[in-house]
Amino acid sequence: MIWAQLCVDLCAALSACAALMFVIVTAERTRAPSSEAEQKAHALLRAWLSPQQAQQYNSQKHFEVIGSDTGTRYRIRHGRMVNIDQLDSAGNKLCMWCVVPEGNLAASDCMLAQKIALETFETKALAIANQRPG
Amino acid sequence: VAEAERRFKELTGAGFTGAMRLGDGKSKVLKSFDPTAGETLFIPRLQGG
Repeated sequence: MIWAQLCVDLCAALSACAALMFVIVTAERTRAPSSEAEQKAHALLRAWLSPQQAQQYNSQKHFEVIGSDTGTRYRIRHGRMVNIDQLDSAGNKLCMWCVVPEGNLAASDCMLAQKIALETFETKALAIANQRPG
Repeated sequence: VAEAERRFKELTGAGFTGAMRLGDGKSKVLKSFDPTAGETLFIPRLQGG
């Protein structure tokens, strides 16, 4: 009887440890990049933007890019996910796209990757991306 | 340069995309190592979000 109770207690303790490890690992993976990483990423993004894009980003926290294959206009908003708007010729939002680089990157790093992807391999990037209604 | 080329092959082999800045906001994807590239940015593999 005592051995049975010990087994039950041991199993409960092991389950609790496993749950705690899962919580720790999950928290580590989803931890936001440090403010230093965000600042470095922001400086890098600014260095890669055209003067017009930098002006847009300064004033509106977004910038526009032209797709390399179709000439489509996209607006990349500050953020990491679901932050790409596809625009029509009048600037109206048609739909949203979500494509992000792997890893827990700063928002500006994600935006730079999205800019380069759309401006240099648009079709390939959109084939990976998920589309959302506008 | 040899070390840079080794690093380029290592990262692109792992799924990263190398890109270089051309100026005025334009950039170019590097299909192979370019010893003249002053700065190469490596983008992790993209995924749908």
